[in-house]
Amino acid sequence: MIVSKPRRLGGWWGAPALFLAPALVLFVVLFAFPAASSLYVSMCRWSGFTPHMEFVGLHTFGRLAADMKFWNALRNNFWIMGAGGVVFFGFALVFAAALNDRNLRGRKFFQTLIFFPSFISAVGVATFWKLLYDSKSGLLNLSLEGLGASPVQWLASDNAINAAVIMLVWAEVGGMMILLLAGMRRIPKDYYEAAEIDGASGGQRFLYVTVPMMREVMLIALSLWMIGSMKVFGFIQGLLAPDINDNCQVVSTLQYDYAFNNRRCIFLMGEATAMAVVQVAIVLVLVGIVRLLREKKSVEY
Amino acid sequence: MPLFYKLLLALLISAGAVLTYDLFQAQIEEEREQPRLVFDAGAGRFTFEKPAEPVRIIYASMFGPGEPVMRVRDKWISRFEEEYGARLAASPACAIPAAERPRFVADVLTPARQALPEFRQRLAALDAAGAERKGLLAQELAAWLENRRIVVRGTDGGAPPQEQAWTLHALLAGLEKLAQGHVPADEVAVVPRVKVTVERRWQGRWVLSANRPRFLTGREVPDIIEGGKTELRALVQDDYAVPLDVPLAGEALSPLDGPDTWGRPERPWRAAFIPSMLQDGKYPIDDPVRRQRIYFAPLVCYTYCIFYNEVLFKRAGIDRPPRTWPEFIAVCEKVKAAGIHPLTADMENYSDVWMTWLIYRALGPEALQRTIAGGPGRPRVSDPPWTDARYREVFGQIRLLRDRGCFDKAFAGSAWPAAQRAFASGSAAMMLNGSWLVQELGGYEEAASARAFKLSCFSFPQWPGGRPQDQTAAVAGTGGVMVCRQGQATRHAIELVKYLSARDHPDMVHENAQISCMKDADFPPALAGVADDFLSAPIVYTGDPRDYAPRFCADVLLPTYVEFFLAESASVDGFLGRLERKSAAYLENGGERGYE
Repeated sequence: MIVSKPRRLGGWWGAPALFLAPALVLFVVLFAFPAASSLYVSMCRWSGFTPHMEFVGLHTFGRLAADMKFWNALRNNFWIMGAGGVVFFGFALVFAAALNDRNLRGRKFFQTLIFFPSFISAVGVATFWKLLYDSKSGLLNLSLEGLGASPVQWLASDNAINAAVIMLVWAEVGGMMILLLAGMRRIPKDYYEAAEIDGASGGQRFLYVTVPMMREVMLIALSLWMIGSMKVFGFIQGLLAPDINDNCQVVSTLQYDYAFNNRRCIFLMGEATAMAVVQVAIVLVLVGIVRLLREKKSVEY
Repeated sequence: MPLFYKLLLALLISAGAVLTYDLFQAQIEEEREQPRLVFDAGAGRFTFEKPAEPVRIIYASMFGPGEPVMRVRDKWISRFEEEYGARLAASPACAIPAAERPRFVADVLTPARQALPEFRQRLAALDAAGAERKGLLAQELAAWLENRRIVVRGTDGGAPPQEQAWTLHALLAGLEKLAQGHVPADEVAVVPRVKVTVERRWQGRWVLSANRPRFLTGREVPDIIEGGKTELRALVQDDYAVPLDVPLAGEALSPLDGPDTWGRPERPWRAAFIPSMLQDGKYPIDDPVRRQRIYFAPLVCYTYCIFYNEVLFKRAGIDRPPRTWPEFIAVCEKVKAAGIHPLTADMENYSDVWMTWLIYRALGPEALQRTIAGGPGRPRVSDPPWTDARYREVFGQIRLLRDRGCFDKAFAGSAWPAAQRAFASGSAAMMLNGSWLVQELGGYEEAASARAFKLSCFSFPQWPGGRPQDQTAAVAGTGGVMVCRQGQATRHAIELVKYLSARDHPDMVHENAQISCMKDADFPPALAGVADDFLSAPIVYTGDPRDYAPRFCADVLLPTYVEFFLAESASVDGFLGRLERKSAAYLENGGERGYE
């Protein structure tokens, strides 16, 4: 007896296509089309007020390449990513390691305390730090003066980005600490016990057990930090607006300035979108590098 | 069912309810605006009340919610809604015009005919009811009629039940006559009603960007946008603004030449403005069509002046504010010698005002324009160049303020509004700011009396050796409105602008210390220190380099200047040399057009 195979709906691809269609439609409508449109806008001269866009090709990117403000902004983003990253990861790792110690008293309290700034909105954090940093009546300078030290112009154009890094680390370190802590708690205790039996000190255990075993988690954390620091906007805008000095811009705030800031009386939607395209490209490259590092060697528990 | 699913279900139901309400909101609103048949029992007459004709004006403002200016404007817009609605509906009640009769029959008469049998039954039940129930039944019957769009005056709860019943009987008799055609429709009066609504969008300084999607889609575009002239220029550039000195389609006179409707109707609206302020509403960029048109109705203007704390001046032994630049420097020295910071500021905020004002006093605004945009017949050459000795002197004086420590030490690291807080707390004697500072420090003077703060101001010092007309000139920037071409209620919007220009300035002046652009307005008492100079100024310079060279200012002039201004030490020659080089490259590249 010949039994025919039940036919799939609409041929071999019909059913999967049917199930995939809603997601695909959403993807095209909400992501692919806007992304392609952005790419097109980035090649247009456009104020953003009229439907008319003048296609100028790569001219906008050429303008961007010649725009020192953009390079300054990019440099600031990389500074936040690099220098900020070192401090950020340093603190996050130390806090996570400390809180991973089950003998530490008040662990929950410290964990909540460190994580608490993550609950506050970027504007709230920025306003708080703006008041702290204020050179005329800010708490930091009043404290420095009280200690006999000379006050620091925290928000002056030379220092503002460093001041922003401190604020960012304070605000974000809690979230990163939780991520690292979760990674640390996944490491089986056997490794530590074996290392202890072998005579490894606490520092050695951290360096030779914890860090290598945390590689995956740390690379994910690194990707998150890279993306975050390239896109940072609310904190900088909140801390330094309304008139951000050209030396203190980051790419997102400059983008906002070019596209929306009435006070400049210039509306450069094309250039602003071109900046966004460059920003996305940089993030993709950096995340790609991190992915390569991840694929090179995987850790098994 | 687990608690989580219960919560989820509750959430979905709530969301559904909100969405349904939102979807049907328009219909609900519409329901309230149905035509009605109103019976006046006293006169025994019917009136056909059409739904109010809606007039909707969208007003978008650069002022955010809660700002003092917004509160004044909001109050006057509300009054406009009432007054303008009454004015549009001012024509007396008249017989229903022939064109409206089919609507009257369909919307009112036919439902009334259909309601008659039940009305009779209910009225009979009311008559048969005992005295204690009569009042309640009368009210129920009135409500039942109202649901059928029949309103009878005199059936409110206050009237005695018997009287309510008589009124309802009178209505029944009238309705029967009307239904049988014994009362011709042209004996029914119609009362015109107009409902004016101004939708306010208090969107703050980013008003243009906030409305950008609306300009792009052409939907819900504001009829009026309020902002600074320099900022609103973008709308003219993209042809979104209605010229106020050109007649609208189908009209003989332009809005500006039409009557000053809400002020003095015997004169044209144009005459209500201070002429120089109105001229400031012209499009500033060289353009054969738009250049000569007035697109902007200025309502208030701002000037920059030097504010000082009278208490600290007295403490330093200064009995009158300085008039000239050397006197100003001497005052700074004297204040400093008394152990007080002469000036305070927030980094580069308003630092460009020192530059612009000094250049205007020393060389005049035309010279600055020639330097930036090129000389006559030589559009690619600055004339005079930035390296001119007079510029050197001007920037040398600005540097002097920094080098002699006239600003408080912390100014280079402070962020707005720290400086004005510090100033109001008595930590510095002077501050260069716009006339809006009075409003921003509103109430501070009284609250801060213990901290020795009394606010006063003086005009920007004169420059010995400068042209006489530049020494007595005032500098002002204007704030006002543009009427948008894509708006749906242009004529009504212009009426609103006329109304505001005529009515709200006394409050603006006295409550908010705003300088009005209207001829009949007072000068803000809080700015008495500059009143004489401002009011007697033969010339008011209203331009700003950003008007004619926005990109140069944003990319070259201001960043280079701010760097020079904030640097702890900087050479004037080095700065001017840099500026000259960048300026030459800008002009060589075609000026503003080079950016296209």
